[in-house]
Amino acid sequence: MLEGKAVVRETDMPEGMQSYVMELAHQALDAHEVSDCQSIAHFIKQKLDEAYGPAWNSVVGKDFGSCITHLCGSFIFFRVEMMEFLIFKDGKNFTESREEAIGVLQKARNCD
Amino acid sequence: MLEGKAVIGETDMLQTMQQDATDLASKALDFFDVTEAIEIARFIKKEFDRMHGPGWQCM
Repeated sequence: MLEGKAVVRETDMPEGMQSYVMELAHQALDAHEVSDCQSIAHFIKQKLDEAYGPAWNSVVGKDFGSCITHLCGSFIFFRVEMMEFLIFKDGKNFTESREEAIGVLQKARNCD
Repeated sequence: MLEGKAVIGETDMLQTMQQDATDLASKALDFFDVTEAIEIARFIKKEFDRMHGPGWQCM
């Protein structure tokens, strides 16, 4: 269980959605071992698909780089203690999408 | 430079697309230092967008 406050690194989400996502992260961290990144990511993705429609993507870990295309208004990258969360919705209409290159590098090994 | 062979975890991609992905990973690891994870991801994503249409994700 990680009890720390979520720290937003980057987002283009509305405030309410940000709060909901970070609440889901805390629920996931309460329900799963911190080493079980896949279950944490899966929990968040499922809940967001239910709440805001399908095609959410959820990446949870300590050490990764990424480059994504997401629907505008559906992207957040935040940290809870040493765990990083990259959450975004797929955009099929690319006039409403944008590209982000995101990452965090630490000495800690990847979860896998 | 990492010289190891790519090991597929899971895929539903056509063989040719799988080959594109693993080839690009090898090229990226030649161009970039292994710690440049964002640049590696960006390189692969941009090539896939170019080769196979937009909207790819790379982690």
